[in-house]
Order: sequence, then C-alpha cells, then structure tokens
Amino acid sequence: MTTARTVLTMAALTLREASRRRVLLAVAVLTLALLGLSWWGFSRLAAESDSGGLTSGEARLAASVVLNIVMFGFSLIAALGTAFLAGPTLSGETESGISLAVLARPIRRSAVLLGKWLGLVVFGTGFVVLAGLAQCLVVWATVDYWPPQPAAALALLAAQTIVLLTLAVLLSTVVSPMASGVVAVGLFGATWVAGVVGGIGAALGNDGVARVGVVSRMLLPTDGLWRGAMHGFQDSTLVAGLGSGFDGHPFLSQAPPTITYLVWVAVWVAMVWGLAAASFVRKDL
Amino acid sequence: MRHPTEGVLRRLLDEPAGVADSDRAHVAGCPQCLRGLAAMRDDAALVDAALATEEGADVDVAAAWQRLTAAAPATGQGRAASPGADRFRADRIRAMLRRPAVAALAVVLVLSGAGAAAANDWLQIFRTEQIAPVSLSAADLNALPDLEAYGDVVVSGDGDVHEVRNADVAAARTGLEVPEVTTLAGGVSGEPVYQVGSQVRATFTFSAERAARAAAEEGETLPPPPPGLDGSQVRLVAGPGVAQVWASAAGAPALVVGRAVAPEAFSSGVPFATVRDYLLSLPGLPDDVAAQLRAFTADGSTLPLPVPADEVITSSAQVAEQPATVLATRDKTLAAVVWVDDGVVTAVAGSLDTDEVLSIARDLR
Repeated sequence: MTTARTVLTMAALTLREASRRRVLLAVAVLTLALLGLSWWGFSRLAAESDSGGLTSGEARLAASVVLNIVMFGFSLIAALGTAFLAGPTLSGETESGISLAVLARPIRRSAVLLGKWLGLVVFGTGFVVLAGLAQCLVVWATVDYWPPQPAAALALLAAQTIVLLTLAVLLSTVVSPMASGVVAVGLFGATWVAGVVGGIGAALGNDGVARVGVVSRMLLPTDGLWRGAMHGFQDSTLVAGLGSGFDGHPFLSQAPPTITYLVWVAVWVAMVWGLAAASFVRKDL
Repeated sequence: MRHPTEGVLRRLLDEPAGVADSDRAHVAGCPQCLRGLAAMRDDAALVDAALATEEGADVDVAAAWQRLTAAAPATGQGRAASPGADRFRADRIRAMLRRPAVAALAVVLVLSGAGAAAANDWLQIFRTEQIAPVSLSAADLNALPDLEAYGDVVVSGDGDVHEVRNADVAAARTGLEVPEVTTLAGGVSGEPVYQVGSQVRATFTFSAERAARAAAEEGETLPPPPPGLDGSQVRLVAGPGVAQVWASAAGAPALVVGRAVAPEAFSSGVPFATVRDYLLSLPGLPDDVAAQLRAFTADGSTLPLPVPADEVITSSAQVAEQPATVLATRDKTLAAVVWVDDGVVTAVAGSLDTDEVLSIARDLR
C-alpha cells in the first residue's frame, strides 16, 4: 500500500468514525438549531426596521455585528468538535490498543497521523464553510446584508479550525484524550481573551498591554485568523466611521491579515504537525 | 428496551458467557439484532478464513525471534565498521533531530523568535489600511479641499456651519429655497434640525517648490508641472448651503437633506481643469482631498461627491427631470442621491436603501 493510499484510507476512516460516533449528527443538529435561532433573530431585526424603530441602514449595521457574533458561535462549535474528535482518534486508540493492531501493518506512523489529520481537516473546514455560508444566506434573506468578502472570511475561519485541530492532534500524542481536548479549547479561549485585552490596550494607547494580543496571536494564530475573518464579514468603511474608541471591540475588526502573517500560520501548522509526528513516531504504544 | 450495542453483539460470538441474560433475551426476539448478529458472524468467518494458516504448517516462533535478534546487531556493527563514517555521523544527527524533545525545543525557539518579532513590530499581523470614513454631515456642503501642501491658500469666510430655528430662517440666511420633505423612510421620524453654512472662498496659488517638497516627503519625485502652472491662481467658491438633519432613535444622523450653491472654480491663466488634473495626479494626495477637488469645475456642472470614489458603488437615476448620481456604500448601510439643477446642488443621504433615498428625493417639494 503506498503512503498516499494509507493517508487517504485513514482520512476516510476518521470521517467514518466521526459519523459513527454521532459527532456529525450532533454538529448538524446544533448547527440547524443555531441557524434557526439566528433566522428568528435576524427576522426580528428586519421587523424592527419595518416598524420604524431602525432605519434600513442601521438594521444592516446591526446585522453585520450580530453576524460576527453568530460566526464566533460557529467557530466555537468547530473548535470544540475538532478538538474533542482529535483526542479520542489518537490517544483513545492508543489507550484501547487499536493502534497496536493498526500499526503492526507495514505502514508509516506518520502516514497514519497525516491521514487522521486530513480527515479532521475535511470535517472541520467542511463544517465551517457550509455552516458559515448558510448563515450568510440567512442574513441575506432576512436583512438583505451580504458580507463584502465572504470567501476570504470563510477561508480564514477554516484556517482557524485547521490551526486548532493541529494543536489538538499534537496534544493527543502526549496526553489523554480528555486532557488534549480541554487544553486545546482552553488555549483557544485564552488566546481570544488575550486578543481582546490587546485590543483594549491598543485603544487606550498602552503598548505593553497591546503587545499581549500581538504575542498571543503569534504563539497560537487562532485569534489573528478570527479577526481577519471578521474583517471579511464587515465593511471596513463602516468600522472606520465608528472612531478609534471601537478599536478594542471583540466583534469589530478594521484590517485584514498580512500575507506575512498567513505565511507564518502555514509555517506554524507545518511545525506543530511535524512535532506531533515526531512525538507519535517515538511513542511507546 | 434499547438494542444492545455493537460491542455486546460481538461478545455474543466471542464470549457468550459475558453477556447479560436480558440482552440475550432481547437479541433472541429482535429481528434487527439477529440480522446484525448474522452479519457479524459472516464477518468473523471471513476474517478467520483469511487469516487461517495451512493445516500442519508448524511455525517455530522462538527460532525466528532468535534469527531476528542475531541479525539486528550484526547490521549495526557492519554499519559502524563501514568507511562512510561521515554518513554515519549524519545519520546520528538526523536521528537526534527526530527526537521529540529536540523537535519541541526547536519549535519553542521559533515561536519565541516569532513572538519577539511581532512584539517589536518587525512582523505585522494586520495590514494597516487608511480608510476614510464615509460620513454624512452638513459641513460637506461648503467644504474646500485642503491644498496647503501644494501652494498658498487664502481663505475668506469660514463657512460657519450653525444651527438655525426653522426653514424660513435658513432660507433667509442662505438665499436658497429650502426643500420640503413630504415622505420619510422607516426609522426616521420627528422634526429635523436646520443647519446653514455661509459661502467659503479660497484663493489657491500653486507653488511647484512646495508641491515638490510634499512629494519628497512621500519619497517620490514631482511630475513636471504643465507650462505656466507655477504661480498661477485659482479661486474656489463653495456654498452657501442648508441642511435638514433627522436623527434616528439611536441618535445618529439618519437622514440629511441638503441644498447648496454648486462649488465652482475660477482660474486666471491656466484653465482650471489643467490645474485640477495635475493636482489629482500628484503622489500622496489624500483620498478625501482628491474627492473634494473632483467636485470643483469651472462651470459648477459636475456633482460634488464628498466621498472617496472607491468606497462607494455609484449608479445613475433621474430626479426632478435632472440626471442624478446615486451612491451606496458597499455594505448598503449608507446611500445618497445628488443632482444639480441650475447651479444648485441638492443631496439626500442617510443610513437607508438607495430606493428609500430616491423616493424621498423624488417627493421633495
């Protein structure tokens, strides 16, 4: 069996496992619930505009902010889903002894790891893109608001999911399934909070506090990518009009990420995956 | 009762004694579980057949293990004794690099370096974009472009935008007929605030030396000015103007209906269009100044659009039998319609749809 075929087989098996463990079903139900709830919320916003409480422009402005909040919800579901899926798929199989049976075959451990990672990438990015697109359509149908760069924004959200699941895969090669999920999601939340703190520092002109956000975005790029995605969901002229007092707002973003930062994200993913492979190859099963 | 899990069904085949009586009773009477059990039995038979060794084949595991352990050190020694000592060293270094602890240390070093680079602003995370906010204000009606960087500007009249009591006072102060709004859009209600601005005049004398300095600050060289431009004068006149501003329930300006004498430019010597086009070609001209400058014509015929052209979507329409320009921000949160009738420019703008501003504009009296 060639390495490429091993990788694809493992990816397909990871997806089948996700479906067998009812993860796909749970995520689909959660997403539909969130989409339904947001449909209701956005239609109330439109009704408020029709009844004269808001002008149509103000309703769209509110919709763009609420859209970011709902998208944050989706990115959280994707983060939790992939982090807790990555844990059992590696360390769970090592604990239960399944790995012993699988890895006795003439296949490389790194190919197995890459296959599982690829399966998780397909699951995570597929979810983010489909759910995000559905959410954009809900907002368009109810409030007539369409984000300025939906494709770039969804791609950045997908990249955020890839970053987090790569971290979860690395953790699952060294700690127990549950611990790897908890640590990955905990770090995701901590980076987001550090980003908000950094934003407040930037708004207040305090360089030391602003640096907290900058450094955290380099160490774990989820927050940097999330802020870049928000920029794609919102018109920057609108955010610029709100003034500098809104710089630290957790659901407003003024600027897209630089190419250098996106290259760093790719390097980060490659580096962390490489570390996961080094750890998994030497792991005592 | 719920169906037993796949694991319980499999145990019925492998270890029947380990299955609870209740599960066993359920499976015996449940067609679905019996089907699952039959499928598992077929699978087990298939795997048994695939893994079965030939009858009588005696595998001596102990002897095979001995052969393997004897072969492994021999290979290692052979390698050490080989003349390629450099290759052996390279292999050892590669093996060391593959150690998780060394790899982790390398990752930590790279992360620390990248964090330090970002903290010292050597690596930008976000692109810094200078985005001019699209605003709605009465002050736009008689605004002049800030051309101080390119020559001498002498301003007479400060525009003085201030609030007045009602439409009659506004008409008396500006000499303009104040447009009467008959229909309002959803979310806009109550009485408007009237603001007036007086005429602003500015005389601009182009200085090639100052323009060259401004260009040098941007790190670029000044394109050669057209002959006769250095020292030539342009008089820019804007206003007077009147604006009615409605606030939304949230307090932000929701609708602005403004009327002003169209901005006009008079030049001595070089035609104004030449001066304007040259200024617009200069490096480092801010977007908002460029947008204001484009509004000025020698005959007051083009539309003043005090917004950067690349931030808005423009289209055309007919209002009061005049061609009108319709503007909307890309996210459709702000829209405006502007038209000129007999040297007087009228604008309707707000946090509204283009359809809503057009409907208000067409119903003006």
